[in-house]
Amino acid sequence: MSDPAQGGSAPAAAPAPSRLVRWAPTLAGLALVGVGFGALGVAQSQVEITVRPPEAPAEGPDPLALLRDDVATLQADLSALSKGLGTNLEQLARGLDRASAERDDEQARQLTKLQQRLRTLERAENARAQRLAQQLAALRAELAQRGAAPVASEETPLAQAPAPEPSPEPASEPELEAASEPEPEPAPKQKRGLFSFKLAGGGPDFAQRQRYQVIASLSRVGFDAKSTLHDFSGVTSKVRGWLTTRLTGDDAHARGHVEAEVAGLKTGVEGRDEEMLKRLDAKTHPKIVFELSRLEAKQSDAKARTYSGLAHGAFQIHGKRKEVRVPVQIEVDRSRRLVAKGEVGLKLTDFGIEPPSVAGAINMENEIKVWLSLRLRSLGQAEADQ
Amino acid sequence: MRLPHLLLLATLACSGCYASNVVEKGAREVKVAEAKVDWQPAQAGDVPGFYASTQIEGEAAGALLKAYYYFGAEGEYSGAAMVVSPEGPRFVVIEEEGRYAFSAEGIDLNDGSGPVALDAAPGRLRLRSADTTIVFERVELQ
Repeated sequence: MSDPAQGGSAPAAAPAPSRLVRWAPTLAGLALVGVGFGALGVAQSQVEITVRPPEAPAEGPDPLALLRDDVATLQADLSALSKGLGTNLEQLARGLDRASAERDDEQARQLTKLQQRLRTLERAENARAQRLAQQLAALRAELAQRGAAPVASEETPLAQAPAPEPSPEPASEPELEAASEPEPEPAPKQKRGLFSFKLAGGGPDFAQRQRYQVIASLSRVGFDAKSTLHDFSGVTSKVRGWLTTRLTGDDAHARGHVEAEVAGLKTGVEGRDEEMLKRLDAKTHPKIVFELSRLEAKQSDAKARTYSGLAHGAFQIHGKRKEVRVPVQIEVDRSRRLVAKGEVGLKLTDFGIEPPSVAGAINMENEIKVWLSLRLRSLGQAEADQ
Repeated sequence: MRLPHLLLLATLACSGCYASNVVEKGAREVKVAEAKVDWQPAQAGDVPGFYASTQIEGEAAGALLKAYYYFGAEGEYSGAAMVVSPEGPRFVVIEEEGRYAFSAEGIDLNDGSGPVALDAAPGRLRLRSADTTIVFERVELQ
């Protein structure tokens, strides 16, 4: 910075103010005072000021009392409103609790269903994977046999596929979306039938033409014979046969076939059995056969499932055939099987068989009683009458 | 001694050798001796296995000829049966997924019929409904 005292020229001196300028403020103040006094004078001539005593109170109800009444009314309203609000809030809270509990239950049920469905799907998926693995293995084996290129071995065999992820633990709060979905109607439990099997009737129906099959293990055919020494029976369970009939009366269309193996007949005495087989010529005529041609009813009760009558047919023994009428009784056992019993007297000589005799002193009677004790299983309805 | 006398003597002597063995009328029917089985109410552990029916009695016996069941250890089961249908004997198979459960009343096969009584004996099970009883024997699956 340069020092003005040391260098440059000195400034010129300012001119002195005039007297008029120095007295101007004083003169302006005096002018304002004069204007004020003038305005005061004008105002006094135009404005009138009157002073009155306060007015007496108006006639009517006490406003303070009215105000008290209003306040009391408001307080009562407020109290009632508060009480009502409390009750409503209480009901609302209870309703919300109940709805929440129901929603929780519903969600739990849905969750259980979903878990069951998931397990079902897992099992089905595992079974499908196993089947596919077996098919794949079979295909590989077939390809190997044909000499074709092997299937890529790096494929993960389905049988070794990792087990499906276990179902995740249910969240404590299931998703609202799932809960809000309309719940599917629960599928009604399908009634499959007794022990899960659909059974359409079944068993002997006397009013219906049915097919029956002889149950060999529960049937026997035999004869009773008399001789000089003692009486005896011959019995066999080697029996086969069938029957088609309707058991409500006479049945001209009844058909049946029962056959017994001659070699199966046993009398309890070995030597006698051998002699019997010789006389019956078992090698040439190995079977004793009864052919049913019609049924003549004497009594039948379809409801009680009992029947008795005559079985018209023919016996075929030792190669000879003879028409017979066999009295029969039929009923049903507790396992719903037909139980058929019958017996008829036959003469051995009618079938070309000479009754055995030892030295003319030990003789077997010519007439024997042939009997049948059969159990038959119904195989359902037969075809219509022919 | 003359011949007729000898024959008469032989006849009289022999008549004591052979007793009469005529089958009585009431004994002609084949009787199946029922094995004495100590049946007890079945427990969950008695059930798993493969079974074939050996005896069917009651109302269903006319239509149900043979029944097979497989009971798994985790409540699953399957079955097949030979039944009499209008077309004749046919096999029917339980195609739906079978689930069984125990209750105080027995076993519920979840078939809509409700629980049925279930008894067990070594190697055997017995299902009893109101009108049908089926006895099963355990069969080894080989």
